[in-house]
Amino acid sequence: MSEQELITAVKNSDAAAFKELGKLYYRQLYGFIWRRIGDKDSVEDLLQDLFLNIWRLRNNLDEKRSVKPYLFAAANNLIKNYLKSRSLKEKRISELLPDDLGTDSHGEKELYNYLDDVLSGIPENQKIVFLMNKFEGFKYSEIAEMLNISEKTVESRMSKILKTLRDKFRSAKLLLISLIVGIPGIWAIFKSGNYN
Amino acid sequence: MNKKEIDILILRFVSGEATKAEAKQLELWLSESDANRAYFNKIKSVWSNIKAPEPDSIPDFENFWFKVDAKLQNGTDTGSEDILNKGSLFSRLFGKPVYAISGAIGFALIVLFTCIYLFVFDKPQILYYSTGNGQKLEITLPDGSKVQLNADSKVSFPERFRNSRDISLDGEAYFSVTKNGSPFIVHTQNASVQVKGTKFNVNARNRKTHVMVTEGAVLLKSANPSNNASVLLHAGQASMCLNESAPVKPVQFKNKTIPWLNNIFVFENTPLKEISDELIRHYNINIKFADPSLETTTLTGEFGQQNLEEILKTICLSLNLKYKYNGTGYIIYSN
Repeated sequence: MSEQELITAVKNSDAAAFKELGKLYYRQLYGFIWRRIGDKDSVEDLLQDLFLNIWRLRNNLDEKRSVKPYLFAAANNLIKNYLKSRSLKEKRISELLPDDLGTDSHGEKELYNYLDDVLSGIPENQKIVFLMNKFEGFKYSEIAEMLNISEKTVESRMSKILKTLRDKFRSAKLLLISLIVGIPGIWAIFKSGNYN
Repeated sequence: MNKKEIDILILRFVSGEATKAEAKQLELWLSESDANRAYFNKIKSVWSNIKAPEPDSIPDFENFWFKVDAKLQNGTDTGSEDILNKGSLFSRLFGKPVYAISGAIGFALIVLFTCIYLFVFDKPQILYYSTGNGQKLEITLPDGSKVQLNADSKVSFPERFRNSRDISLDGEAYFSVTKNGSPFIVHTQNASVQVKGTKFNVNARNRKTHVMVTEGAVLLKSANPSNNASVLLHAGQASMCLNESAPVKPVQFKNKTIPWLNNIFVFENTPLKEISDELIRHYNINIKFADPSLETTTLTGEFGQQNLEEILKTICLSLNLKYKYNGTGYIIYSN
């Protein structure tokens, strides 16, 4: 069944179709919630709550639209509510990484610590745009749909974060990493045709 | 290009959004100077070094869904047929009949209705609100209806209502529903409560949904799809659904107002466990029993706006029990 057909079936209370839908997005949603909350038991509880709520409110599903932004928007609100009601902060990325990162670990750990600092200082609406694009692989158009904003707004929020990243990016060590990685990288990009 | 435009272009490129034309534009800019290339490299390396952390393992989907399914089996019935979009104006307009309208008029109409559709039927997100022990919350719904949420309860609803107003509730809430023509349905774990415009209380905990109506009328039915029986409740009446059963016959309740809204507790042959659970929710202080067999002892009584100790004193007095505070909470034990 196409996703559109699944949605129609779910609206008609087809539990099997709902399971199919759940299967499609389970991994992605799990990762998304885990990256914000970190505690696996809570992640599973929240994901259960999410699906149960989507089911109870299935009258609101719209087969004419993609369900992915809707699911992630609902997950986002669920996460926000969860954190607020427990007075918790979002997990820092460096807290999510395994303790043993391998030989390059020092540079990476520093990068993530630095990223955490940047992220903790920017407005929520910018941060979510960045997370959705960089971590969750959403296109600008999908982010726009999820947050009910224009693509231009997505673009401008992303560039604001970039500016913040760049302005703080003054440590010599990180500059060294970038030079080592960057110069061969630039030609590879054009060769691989990394554009639409 | 100014700095901001370059930033956006580079960003679009590294995040995979750039079109062929944009990539060419970037290539051109990069060929202009070393400084440009260095700038780009800096951004590119930071960007590509940031990778999303992945959990080391994800629970198996089938195991996960097994738990979801168990709760889904009491899946909430959506109530009357008109809730489903089948008969909606919008779907008829975007279905076959549109092709029958010819020429410019048709086109204009399509544009007009698309605008209305985008404006009115916009993609609703689901909003969540919850309370912990000792908390209460008042929420205004998108249609102006009010929800008073009791302690340890969760409610969720779409940011914007479409053809019906659907609310999901776990716990207890008092609803004041505005009359606007569309059905207002509260979905709990094991039942659904449908109203048109009215005031009523829903207590939905542990697969028991109890409804009390103070104004207007509501239709209560089980969420069990194979159980279609419904009960119409008028002002002053109450009923409940336990697990998968149909709603019980309505009974009159004497209080004109819902007790918890005024911090009053009403217990009628209520087991002590339920009483202590309710007290814990309200006062956010732990209450335990020295002997589990005490939990099933029942009590009938009304407690109004007292502090917890006074209530415990009264309970213990009537049941010949004692209580003591041990630093983290209260313990009730036999005399």
